[in-house]
Amino acid sequence: MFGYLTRKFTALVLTLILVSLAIFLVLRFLPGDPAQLVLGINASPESLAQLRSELGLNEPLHVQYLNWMKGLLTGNLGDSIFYEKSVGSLIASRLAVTLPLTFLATLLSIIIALPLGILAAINHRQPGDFGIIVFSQLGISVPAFWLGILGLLLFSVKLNLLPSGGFIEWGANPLGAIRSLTLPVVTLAIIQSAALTRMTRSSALDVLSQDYVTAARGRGLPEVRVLSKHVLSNSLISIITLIGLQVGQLLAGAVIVESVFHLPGLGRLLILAVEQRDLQLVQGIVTILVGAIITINYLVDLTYGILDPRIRLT
Amino acid sequence: MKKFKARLGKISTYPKKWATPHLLVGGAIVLLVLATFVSSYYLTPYPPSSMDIGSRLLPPSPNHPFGTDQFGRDVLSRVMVGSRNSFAVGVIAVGIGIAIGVPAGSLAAFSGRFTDTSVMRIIDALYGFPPVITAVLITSLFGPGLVNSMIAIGLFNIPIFARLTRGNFLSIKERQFVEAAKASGRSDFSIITRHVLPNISSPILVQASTQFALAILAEAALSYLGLGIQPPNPSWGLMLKQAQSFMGLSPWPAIFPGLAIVITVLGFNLAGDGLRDLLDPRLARLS
Repeated sequence: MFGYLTRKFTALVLTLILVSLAIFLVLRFLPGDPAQLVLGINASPESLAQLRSELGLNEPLHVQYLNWMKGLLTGNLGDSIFYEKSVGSLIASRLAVTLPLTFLATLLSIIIALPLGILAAINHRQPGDFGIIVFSQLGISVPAFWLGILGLLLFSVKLNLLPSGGFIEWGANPLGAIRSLTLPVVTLAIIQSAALTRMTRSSALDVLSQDYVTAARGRGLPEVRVLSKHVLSNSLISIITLIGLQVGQLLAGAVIVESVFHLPGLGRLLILAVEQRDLQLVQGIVTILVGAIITINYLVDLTYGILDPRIRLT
Repeated sequence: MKKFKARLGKISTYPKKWATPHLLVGGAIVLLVLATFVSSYYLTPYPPSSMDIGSRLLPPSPNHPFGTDQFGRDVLSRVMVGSRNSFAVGVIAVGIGIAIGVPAGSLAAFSGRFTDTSVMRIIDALYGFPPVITAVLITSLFGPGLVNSMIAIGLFNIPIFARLTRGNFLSIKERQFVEAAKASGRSDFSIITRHVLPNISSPILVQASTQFALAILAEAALSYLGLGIQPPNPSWGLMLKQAQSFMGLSPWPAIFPGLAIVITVLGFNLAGDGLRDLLDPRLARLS
């Protein structure tokens, strides 16, 4: 187990270093001078030179990278030029929207998908299965932003039940915050659950055809126990893989749904930061998001070893 | 219910091996979408950019089957012309993924452990970049537009094809016919191109169909965010973005471009599933 963990952890660190280098280099080649952007086109050459020096832009590239990495490891992501605040605090404030959105959408999608997938598998090629297949095929073909627009059209414009966009701070009105997140969460959950239902169904079908399931039924175990103990637990590897991938996609991809519902999340902040050429902020957000996604994939890899001990040995 | 079950049973027992319901329905939708794409060059009811302020935000009617938008432009004509951009992005983005991903995956699988690890670490790093972030970075580097959308979505496809190729390559590489080719003194290049790649073309073809559908979704999302195709060019995502501001007055311009996306993506997904069932009977049992 120790060797397995060490191998996986080394791969994680190597990937994170490569990714941080890629982010750093890509952002150094962004067109436009950040100093000029902050001070405007009428800025004097002296003030531009001073700001560049303050931002560390005159240092050689490798020194800039090492300084940034040092800050990253000590939790200092620098300051945003445009907002004049620390990048860490800006990201934290936006995570108050993006994290609940991601978490709740994932939770709801699991609640929808697992029973539907199992139900479809045990009713293989029957009308119930057919209906669930249609739902999952449609769900993976619908763009999240269109479903969001349709949701707004029905629940905000026509029925006037939910807000048409924007976000009420958690501190100001928790109920209002939940109402603001309801449509975005449901939109994302429907899309995510479609793919998850499909995966659960096909994994469960695979497991249902195994001899040990027939043996368990032959021993007279109740069907609920066969499904929970044998079918679901043996389908978990592919289901957890997909959930891990989906959480990563949601963290970064929620920008689209955040745009539909005008939510002040991390993705929207990234788009604004890019438009404003706020280099430190873009670098900070992209690093946090990509780092989180790679770490989630790593954790998913680790769960394989826990769920199936044979994987640890390979 | 009994009749329905009996009918469903008949559907499940396919008349011919290739005619799976997925492939039939998906193929029919893809043909319909392709016909729309081709006819967009010759048969649009109105010029897609022709404005008629007096006829703005009209509901569907015989003159305008999909209604009109906020400038009085015919939505059907714009949806038809919008298919060109979606198809162009799909073809180029999948092409980039295959052109770079397949050789990279083959190299990783065929070479020794060091090259394999190095190539796959780069591929994993690329895979770690979420598509939206890659697209935001690329369009901010080079500016928004059709070509940069293609590159951004294509980059995301590279690790997918590389991983798929490597995985399949590794299993084929150990097969007897490859050993025989080696023993008969064939060059590495010949073994890869004549023996291994033809044997892994099926999963690549199936994946290409799925990635094509995803590329269409991604292009629509980028255009919706304002990072893809720019106005006045019609793009399904951009049309939805513009329609959202007016949906209180008329919902129609927000409905038809979305339906076009759903139908197209559904068609390619179903066709991909059908191809997979056809080419891999073990998986067909699970679908």
